[in-house]
Amino acid sequence: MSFTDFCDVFASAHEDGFNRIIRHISMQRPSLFHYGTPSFVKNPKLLCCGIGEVHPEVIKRGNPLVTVMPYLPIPGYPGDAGLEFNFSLNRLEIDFFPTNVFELPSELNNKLGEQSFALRAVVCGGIACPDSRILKEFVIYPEPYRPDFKGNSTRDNPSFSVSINPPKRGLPFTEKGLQCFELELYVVLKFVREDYNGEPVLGIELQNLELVDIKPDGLENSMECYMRTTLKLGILPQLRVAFNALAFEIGDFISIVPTPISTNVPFNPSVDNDTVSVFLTLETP
Amino acid sequence: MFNKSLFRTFGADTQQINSSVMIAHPLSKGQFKGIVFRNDKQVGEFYINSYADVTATQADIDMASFEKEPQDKCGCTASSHQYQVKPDGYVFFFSSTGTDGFHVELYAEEQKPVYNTRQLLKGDIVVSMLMRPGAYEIIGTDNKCILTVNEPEDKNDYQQHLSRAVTLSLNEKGFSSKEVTVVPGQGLVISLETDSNILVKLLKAAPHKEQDRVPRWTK
Amino acid sequence: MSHITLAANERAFNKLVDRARDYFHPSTSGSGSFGPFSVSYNAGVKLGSGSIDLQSDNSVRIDEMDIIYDPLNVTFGIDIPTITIGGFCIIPSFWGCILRAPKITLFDANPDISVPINFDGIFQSEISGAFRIIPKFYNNPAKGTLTDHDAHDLNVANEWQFYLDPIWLDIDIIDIADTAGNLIQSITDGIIDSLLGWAPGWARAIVKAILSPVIALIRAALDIGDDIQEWLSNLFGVSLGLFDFVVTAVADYFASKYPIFQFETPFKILDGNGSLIPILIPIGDVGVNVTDTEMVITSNIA
Repeated sequence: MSFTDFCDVFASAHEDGFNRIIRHISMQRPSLFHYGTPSFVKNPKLLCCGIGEVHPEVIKRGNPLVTVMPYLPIPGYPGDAGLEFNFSLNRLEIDFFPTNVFELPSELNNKLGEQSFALRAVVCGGIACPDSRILKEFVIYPEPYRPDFKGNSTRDNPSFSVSINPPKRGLPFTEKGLQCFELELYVVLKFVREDYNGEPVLGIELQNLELVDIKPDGLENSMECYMRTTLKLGILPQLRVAFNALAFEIGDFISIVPTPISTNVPFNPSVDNDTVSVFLTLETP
Repeated sequence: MFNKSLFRTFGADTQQINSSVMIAHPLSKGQFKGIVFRNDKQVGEFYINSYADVTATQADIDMASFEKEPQDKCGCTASSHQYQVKPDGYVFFFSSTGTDGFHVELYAEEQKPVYNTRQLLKGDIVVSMLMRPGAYEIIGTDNKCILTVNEPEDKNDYQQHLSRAVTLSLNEKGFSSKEVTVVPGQGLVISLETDSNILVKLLKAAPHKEQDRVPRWTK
Repeated sequence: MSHITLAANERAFNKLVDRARDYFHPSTSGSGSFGPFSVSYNAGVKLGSGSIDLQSDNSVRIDEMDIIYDPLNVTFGIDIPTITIGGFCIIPSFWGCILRAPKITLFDANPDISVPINFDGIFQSEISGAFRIIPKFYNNPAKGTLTDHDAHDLNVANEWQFYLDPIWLDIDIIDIADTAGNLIQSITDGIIDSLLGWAPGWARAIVKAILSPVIALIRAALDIGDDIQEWLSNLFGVSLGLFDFVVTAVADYFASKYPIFQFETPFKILDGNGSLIPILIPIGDVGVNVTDTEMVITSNIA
């Protein structure tokens, strides 16, 4: 059987190649994988997970290694300081159906379903915890509560508040105070055809997600819930592509569009045999 | 490239040498200097020696070649035109290309004029080659003759006609024939047995024959 | 298994070849001799439609691809001997000629006559051949010591290029336009007109008569009889070497001048964003395989 039995142009990428691409991306755009507050941007060596190998061009052109994040606000604190933190996606890998690059945890049934693919990453990060001496220095004491049992005072007593002020600076910390953790994250995804106002679109559907071995279970479930919600509501809807707009140019002279789904081409793209494949048809002028 | 002057000259005049008329002059022994004029303006000079050791029976002097050279107005450089001919050999004055209006004066030693192509002498030979068909009058001193230039009926013989000249002589009594006929381009040789210039004058051009036409389209 | 696989069926492959073919427009000029003629020419060549078939023996077959000559101008010159009048003997003797009239040149030049003829569209020819697809790494000299990213930004990156390397090529002349006969007549008429055109009406017959041996020579040279195809084949194929030029140009063009497909390496998979560098992926181990249905390019990511 030929690659192009049911299309004009066929392109596929094997998961081994895809994982090499991920490695090249992590070397050439490390800021996609590492996030932190200004202290970590300034000194990436402080990151919980090291940055690893960086492409010389990144250094030469002064590209950032870490994406800057806002300070973590402290509820009820009336000052302008916040906590510093960092996190990284480390050792990101992809596995196209069938499962063979890495094992899926039992919570994900150990193996991929047809047309699915999985991402595995080690999420490592931590909050820079200031020591007690620093905390003491930064405490801001409001007017103490003065009970008015006799009802003589004409002044209002301040009410208790846990309001959040956006922090403008970080609380000083020492390397020792950096509380790092590592979580193993598995995400199972699938390309899907969806409908958007009657128009076919290509999207990515989250099939499952697992953070490994966080205790208690309720915490694990809560964190997974938060990540799942973020992916489903925040990230994946933005990754949809109008199918009819998927026209590619090869060398500015050959226009190709995705081959329509049919019995011969039931999935496009298709995830199978450890590869992702795209079937394309010449666009007739 | 065609020598088109041959087709634009309708006659000949020995006083104005051109492609259609040449003059041969027998040269006696001695050293001579020749001055070439065009339209009465000196355009060059040459030297010709005639002595016994020379075997050449004729020296051809092409007037047109002087026209092509840069003028040496002061006469500072020696002329490159040096000729030799045996005594009683001929010096031939002619113009090979389109330029016309030449005449030549010959001088012996000490600037003594000995010959001028505008005053032909007994023994000179005039050669004329005319292209335009028609009736001409050949005029010598007090004598005339009719020359007809005719297209040959049979063009296949044309090359043969061109290879041989028609001859005529002129003496005090007149031309040896009253009428001569040549084909266009054929030589007419007039031997002068008396001093006389020659003028060949077009009387009437032959009417132009329309070539047989084969129309590309007919109704 | 290769990291990346690209396959194009015959229809898509045709597009690639069509594109390369559209940019093929070499030109040549030169001169040669053809019998009594000197011939100079200038020619431009384009390729038209033809069939392109992928073969099961890992080759590509191009059949009957039209060759379009645009322009095809040929100037015929004929070297006419100098023609003089005069030169006849005036005083003959036993030993020869004592006095001979000088020769007056009636006609001289070299070449004497030239007649330009436009052969555009006069004959149809086709090229056929078999090719292998060869991937070549183009080490862009303009890249020099530039980094891959700088070379990408300056559009001087190295490339993988895919050429059609000819195994064999041949040209067939398949048709000669009916008007070819007229062209030959045009050459004759043109030469004679050049010889006589300047002459006043009364002189034409005379000049023609004087030049009759030359005109006879021209007519004999152009007496091509019925086999005009052979005449034209000899003219363009042998005398002018035009067909050799076309074959060489096609071979050279597809083998090394114009790739049917190319991509830069390292290959850009993500654009730069502001000061962020584009993400470039080095591609290696490039191979091509052709079956009777498709061309398959495989490669690995380093």
